[in-house]
Parts: sequence; structure tokens; C-alpha cells
Amino acid sequence: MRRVMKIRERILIFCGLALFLFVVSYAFLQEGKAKKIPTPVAESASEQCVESREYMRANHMLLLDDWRHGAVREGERIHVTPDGRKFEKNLSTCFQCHGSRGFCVRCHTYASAKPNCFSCHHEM
Amino acid sequence: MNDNRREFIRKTGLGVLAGLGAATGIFSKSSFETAEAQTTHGASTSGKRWGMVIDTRKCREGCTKCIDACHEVHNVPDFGNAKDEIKWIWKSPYENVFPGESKQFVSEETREKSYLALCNHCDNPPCVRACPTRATFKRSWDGIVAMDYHRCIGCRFCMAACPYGSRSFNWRDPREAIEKRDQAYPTRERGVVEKCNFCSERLAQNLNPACVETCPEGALTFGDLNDPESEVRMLLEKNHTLQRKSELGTRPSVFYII
Ligand code: HEC
Ligand code: HEC
Ligand code: HEC
Repeated sequence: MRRVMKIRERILIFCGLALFLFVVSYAFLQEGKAKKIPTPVAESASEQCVESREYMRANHMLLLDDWRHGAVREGERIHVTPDGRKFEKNLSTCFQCHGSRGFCVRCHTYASAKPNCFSCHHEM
Repeated sequence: MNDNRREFIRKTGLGVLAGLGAATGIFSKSSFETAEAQTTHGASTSGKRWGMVIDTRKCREGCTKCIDACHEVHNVPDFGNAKDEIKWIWKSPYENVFPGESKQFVSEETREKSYLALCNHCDNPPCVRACPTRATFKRSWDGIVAMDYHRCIGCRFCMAACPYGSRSFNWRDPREAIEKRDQAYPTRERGVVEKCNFCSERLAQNLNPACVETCPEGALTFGDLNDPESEVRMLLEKNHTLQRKSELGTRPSVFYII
């Protein structure tokens, strides 16, 4: 004799299935809605950064490392760009144009990067 | 025991002996180096070598203006107790600053006074040899013994190596005890060693060190020891001077007129 499932049991199973499908597809439904990478604009928007924007986005940590090495260990405190602009090799230089540390922090929070520079370098 | 094994043991023994021989060669070389370091022979004479002459006759008892100025511009914390003390420049009694000098019948005035002490920026700095990360190093272009705080791992070998007690360790977060933060110079953090930098950040702007500039008596003179025309060399020429613990061969760049 075939056992007939009770209606209540069926409803439970379908609800469970629906929930399961929703959870599994949730990540895909969110596609295209991800937070945009913060792209803060420099205060003095007319000027250029120390290097090209693309370079800075990808390599500003290398530039800072190079500056630090130059200033502390080689005694070379001035950075000259290919087009002849001069910058002092320290973190305050960045904030002459970028206003405040918030510029760095917003992006780092997004990227989950945690530079420790600002515990000692308290500029801005 | 078969022949093969005996042969193996014999060869290993020979190898060890050869190794020991090579090692003595290496070690005897380094002990030769220390012997050489004990003379003043070998002082660098080319390029710049920043140095200082302290005229202790002009230094006023009880005055701490140079200390205050230095500690202010460099954000040196003041915890108010000896255990946590951080010092770049300080005053100490005669017997602490010049323990090797004669102790008999020293004039009362000399004995009772306190003397300025700071990093000697030695020409032959023992701290530099002790540092495993090269966080402390002698700048090849001007002789300053510098700290690269970014590399310091807080091992304190340099403190053990320094015969002058010129280095302090940050046992606590220094930011807690900085009264007025100077924005122009970075602070340090817990777990790093720090000391006088001869105001290298001011030298880069062609300024004299803060202590030299502040002294109301003009007791401190700063200049290039390798330049025979410099003011410091004039003073050294005209006066009898002392270097702290010169017998150690560290060749301090700070000189005292007593
Ligand atoms: C002379 C002014 C100036 C200085 C100094 C400067 N920047 Fe910039 N920076 C800019 C400008 C302007 C832009 C935007 C460039 C563009 O849109 O082409 C920018 C862009 C950037 C970007 C890319 C931001 C994004 O969202 O794409 C980074 C990262 C950056 N800067 C880091 C630094 C750092 C680190 C320093 C210090 C070493 C520094 N900048 C110093 C002007 C400056
Ligand atoms: C456009 C986004 C963005 C901006 C703006 C930005 N950063 Fe970064 N930064 C990053 C990313 C992403 C990393 C991590 C890269 C990695 O981990 O390889 C990073 C890493 C660093 C590092 C190395 C961190 C480490 O752990 O070694 C330093 C130093 C740094 N940033 C300094 C700055 C400073 C200073 C500013 C502001 C003047 C700044 N950044 C602005 C995106 C940014
Ligand atoms: C332990 C504290 C500390 C930390 C952390 C630190 N710095 Fe420094 N930094 C200093 C001090 C102190 C100096 C000045 C040394 C001197 O010249 O006497 C300095 C000097 C510098 C200089 C040379 C210019 C100047 O201001 O004198 C640069 C560039 C620099 N740091 C970059 C960085 C960057 C980038 C980071 C993070 C990746 C960082 N620092 C982290 C303490 C720190």
C-alpha cells in the first residue's frame, strides 16, 4: 500500500527547497551591484599626481618605499619627476594635494590594506 | 667494523679538522679588527663628518633649554620615571659622563657640575656592528649614526653595545606622554629603540641642530670635523678637549672643553 504524503509535509519540503535555492543564487543576483572602488579626487584636481594615475593606483606603496629608503638611508630627500617637478620625499607631500588621510583610508578600508605608517607619521 | 666505515670515519675527522682550521683563520681576523679599533688609527678623514664641541664652562647649571628644545621638536615622550625614560640629550654628573677621568682632587666645581650627554655619533660605532637588521647605520656621506625606525625590531642589541647609554627603548606607547606633538617630525612606537639623530632633518634644511640653536650661552658648537677651517676644528685647535671613554676606540664626534 502506497503511503500518501501529508500535505503539510510537502509544504515544508517545498519551502525548504525554495530557501535553499534563494541562498545559493543570492551571490549571483548581487552581480553588478558590488560597491564601486572608491576613487577619491585630489583637492587640486588640475594638477597631476607624482606619477601617472594608473601607476599610482597600482604602485604608490613602491614609490613610498623608495622615498623612505632614499630619504632615510641615502640622504636623498628630493624626488624629481620625468617632467621636472620636484617633491620632498615624505608623507606630508601626499597631503599637499590629497587633503587628508581620509583619501588613503577610504581606499585602504575597501581593499583591506593596513599600512602602519600613520601610527608614527601623524601628518594631517 | 668493516674497512669502508673506518675510511668514512677517518675522512670525516679530517674534514672537521680542516673546518676548524678555516674557522680560526676567520676568528683571528675579527679579533685583529678589535685590536685595531682600540687606537685612533683609521678615523675617516675624507668627506663630511658632523661633530660637536661642548664648552662645559659656559653651560649653566640647572638650565635645560637645549634638552627641552630637542625633546619638543622630536616628540620625545616624558613619562616622569626613570624606568620608562626616553632621552636624546640629558645631563649627568661628572663621574657618569667621564668615569675614566681622574677622580682624585678634582676641583669641587668640576665634580659638582652636571654635564651634557647625547649620542656621540661615533666614527667607529659599536651599536652599528651589533644591529642585526642594519636599522642603525653610519651615514657614509656625513658620519651621522642614524636610526631607520622602519627596520628596528626592538632587539636592543644596540643598547647593550653602546658604552654611553645614548639609546632608549620604548617600553610603552610614547604617544601617551608627548605633551605637545610637533607635526613636522614623526613619533615612534612601542618596541623600537630611539636616540639623537644630530637633527638630520634640520641639517637637510641647512639649519643647526635644535640644541645648538637654543643654547643661550653659545656653549654648543656644531660643524664638520673633517674641515680644518670649521669652527669646531678651531675650538679643538685652541682648547684641550675630552671625548667620552676615548679608550674604547669608538672615536666619538662629540668633544668636551672642561
Ligand atoms: C601635486 C599634487 C599631488 C601630489 C603631491 C600627490 N598626488 Fe596623488 N594624485 C593627484 C591627482 C591630481 C590625482 C588624480 C590623477 C588623475 O586623475 O589623473 C592623484 C591620484 C592619486 C592616486 C589614484 C587615486 C585613484 O582613485 O585613482 C593615488 C593612489 C595617489 N594619488 C597617491 C598619492 C600618494 C601616495 C602621494 C604621495 C607620495 C601623492 N598621491 C601625491 C595629485 C597629487
Ligand atoms: C585607489 C586606492 C588607494 C588609494 C587612494 C591609496 N591606496 Fe595605499 N594601497 C592600496 C591598496 C589596494 C594597497 C594594498 C596593495 C597590496 O596589498 O599589495 C595599498 C597599500 C599601501 C601601502 C603598503 C601597505 C603594506 O602593508 O605594505 C602603503 C604604504 C600605502 N598603501 C600608502 C598609501 C598612502 C599614504 C595613501 C594616501 C596618500 C594611499 N596609500 C592611498 C590602495 C590605495
Ligand atoms: C616606528 C614609527 C614609524 C613607522 C611605523 C613608520 N615610520 Fe617613517 N619615519 C619614522 C621616523 C621617526 C622618521 C624620521 C627619521 C629621521 O630622519 O630621523 C621616518 C621617516 C620617513 C620618511 C622620510 C621622510 C621623513 O618624514 O623624514 C619616509 C618617506 C617615511 N618615513 C615613510 C614611511 C612609510 C611609507 C611608512 C609606512 C609603510 C612609515 N614611514 C612608517 C617613523 C616611522
